[in-house]
Parts: sequence; C-alpha cells; structure tokens
Amino acid sequence: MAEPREMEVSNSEGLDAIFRAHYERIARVIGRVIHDQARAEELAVDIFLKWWRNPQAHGEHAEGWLYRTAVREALDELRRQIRRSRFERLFSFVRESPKNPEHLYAVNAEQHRVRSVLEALSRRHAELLLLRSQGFSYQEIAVSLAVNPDYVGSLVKRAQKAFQKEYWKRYGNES
Amino acid sequence: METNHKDQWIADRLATLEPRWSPNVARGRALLASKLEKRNHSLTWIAVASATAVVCIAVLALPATRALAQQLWYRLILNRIEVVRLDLSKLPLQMQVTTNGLEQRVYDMEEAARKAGFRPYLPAPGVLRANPSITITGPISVEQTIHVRDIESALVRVEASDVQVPAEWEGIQLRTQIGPMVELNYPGRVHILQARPMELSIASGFPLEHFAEVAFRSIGVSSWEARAMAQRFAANPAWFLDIPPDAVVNIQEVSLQASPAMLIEELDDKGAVKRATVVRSTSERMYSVSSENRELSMKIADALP
Repeated sequence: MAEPREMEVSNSEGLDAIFRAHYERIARVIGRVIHDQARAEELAVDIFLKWWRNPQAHGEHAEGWLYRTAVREALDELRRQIRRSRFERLFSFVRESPKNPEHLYAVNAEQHRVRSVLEALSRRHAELLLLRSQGFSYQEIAVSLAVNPDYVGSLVKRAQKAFQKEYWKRYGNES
Repeated sequence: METNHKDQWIADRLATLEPRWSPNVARGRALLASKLEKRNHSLTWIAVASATAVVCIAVLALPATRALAQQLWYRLILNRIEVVRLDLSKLPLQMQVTTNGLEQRVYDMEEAARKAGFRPYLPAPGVLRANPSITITGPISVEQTIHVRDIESALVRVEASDVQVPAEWEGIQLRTQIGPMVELNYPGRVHILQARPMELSIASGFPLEHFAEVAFRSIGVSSWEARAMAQRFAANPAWFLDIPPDAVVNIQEVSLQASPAMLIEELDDKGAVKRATVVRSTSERMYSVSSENRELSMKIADALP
C-alpha cells in the first residue's frame, strides 16, 4: 500500500501527507459505490477528518482504518440513498432536484443492478468485493478489513458466490 | 458456470462501477482545509447565533411578511391517504426542505420510541419471525412558498386561462412536518415504515380549498377533477401520495381486516411484480409495508394496529 508507512500524525502537515498518499484511491473506492463525484469526494474528505480526530486510528493500523472506514461509509451512503429514494417516493413533498444529464448517464442499467446487489449483500461481502475490484491484493484486503490474510481468498470466493446468487435471483442468469 | 468464467463474469459486473472521473486532489484538499477551518470556528458560531435570531425576527417584521407573521397558524393533520396519478413535484411552489440530518440506527424499540417520540408498532406475533434492524429518519420540515407569478406561468403552460391567482397569496407559506419515521428492516427486503400523520400548517384564514384547486390546475388537472379533489381535501385533509402517470405500477384499493389500504405494485419490464407496497393509515399512524410479495405485504399490513 502507498507511503507513508508510519502515520503518527499530530499536526496538519502529517494530515496533509496522509491525505496526499491515500486520497485518490479512497475517493475511487467510494466512487465505485457513489456515482456522484462531488459526493464521493466529500465523503472521502470526511474520512480523513474522522481519522484525524480519532487518535486511536493513527499509527501502524492507519491505512487499514482509512480503507475500512471508506468502504463502510460508502456502503452506508448507498443504503441511505436507496432508502431515501423509497421515502421520496412515499413522501411526495420531498423530492430530489431534477436529475442532471450526467446523473442520468451515470446510472446505467448495469451499474444500477450491481449497486442494488451490493446493497443487498452482507456488509462484509460487499466490502470484500469492492476492495478486490479496486485492485487490492489479498494482503491489502486483510489489512483493511482486519482479517487473517490466510482466509482472504476463501472469503472473497464466498462473497463472489453470494454476489452471483443475489444477482441471478434478481435479474436472472442470462447475462 | 465454470470457476474462471464465474470470476470473470463477476469481475465484469463490478468493473462497471469504475468511476468515469478522476478524483480532484486539489479540490479535496481545499475542502478538507475548509472543513478544518469550520471546526475551529464552531464556537464562534454559537456566539453569532443570538445575533442571527434577531435578524430572523427583523425579517418577519418586514412589510411583505408582516400580515403573515401576525396570523395564527392553523394545523391540519393529514391522516388520510389519497393516491393520485400525478407528479406533484411539478407544483410551481418554491420549496425548502430542512432536516436535522438524522438517519440513525437504533438498537431496540425502547431507543426507537425515545428518539422518534412515539412507540413504533411491530406486526402481531408470528407474522415475521426475525428481529428487525431499526432506523429513525427525520423529522423533515418542508416549507413551500407561493409565488403568484410562478403559478400564473404554470397555468399559462397548461393553457388554464380561466384560473385567476389572487395577488394576496404572494409569499404565503405552507409548512409540512413529516416524521420522525421509524423503519423496520427485516431479512428478505421486507420493510415497515411508520410515522405519525403529517402535519400541514397554514396561516389561519387561508383559503386552502381554493388554493388546492388552483395548484392542481397548474399541473394540468382538468377543471372538474381539480375542484373535486380540492373539495375532498378541504373536507378531509389527505396526504396525496403521488405516483407519476408514467410509472409502471398497479394500484388498487384492498380491504384488510384492520382498515382499507392501497396496494401499489411496481412492475418490471416483463410485467412481473418487483415490489408490493401496502399503504394504510389510522388516526395516529401512517404505515408503508413493502416486500417482494403482495400477499406478504398485505398480511404484515393487516397485522399492524
């Protein structure tokens, strides 16, 4: 995983260093779940703020904390968005502003399906799949999710199986 | 499916999520700096708050709003649900939505009751076996402001030239309080949403029936239908659950033992039911029960007090 390895941070220079080292990748992980760039970047920034305010997350486990928190926040946001869309449908006074062309473009059918399936999976399965699809090695996943590296392979397999099962249940297995 | 093919198939699905944009590090850094700055100044804001309150009072006393400020607010409880095939988001009203930002997970019904301000109901024993996860959302306040010119423009667009909008409606506000809402999430994508009836506050003396008629006309409802809906609304205020005409759904009234209810079935491209939602209300509660199965949704809705 990227430098710096040591993440003892007590000042804003340290925050800046860790931000520069990890922001882009964290924003991309979140961006897989939240299609809106501005919202994904805002969430990514919030992860660093949370980390900075949480001294217990500093030190050698900082990287793991950052990625674990990022993927969880992204999944929570996805669930909030899906729930909010239900509320909005039910409570007609509360509407999103009209969707812009970029949004309409981004929400293509397959993305929508994959996000819906991820939302329905257990949090752990979704985390594993997201990090793996972002190119994380088994070792990096182990660090990020605080699991034994020896088990990551089988955990990923199980997550893939759950993904496939849920996808087929919802959309059939024609694709 | 062979393992390699399966892996590739899953990888292909997940690859569709790859963002088409690149994170903007400079913008992110600037946002981080601004949030850090904001935090440092949070105490200053507390000091400023009292001054802000004075400004708010001053705004209310401005001539344009003075008459409204002096009126009593009249509160309507919307404990009837009326489903309409309209898109009410097209109403030409300036809308401001505020929420306390809370959407929080709670751990038991006691905590839910404490945070929502009412005791949520569970279905009768035996209907659902698992324990639900519980979240609380809201309350949400919606403030809609009438601007006569906006309504007139909308009326012109739908060619409703016979409708007049009284000039004294300018600046009048309608305030709706929604929630807090409690959502019970069960395995199998079964959701029960419940809230107290919505509250609509309007300035005492405001001709709500006339306004409702004009508002419906402004989104293209025919003259007689708008009048009939407005009269029903004034006689027995309802929450209009709007379902846009192009939404692919089946809607029907169903008779439950508990009370009449509306069943709304969302259909997929092949016409199969994707989700079935039952909406019903009592004098003190509004419920929405949804699942992937019509019978299950109806059974649960009927098992709520």
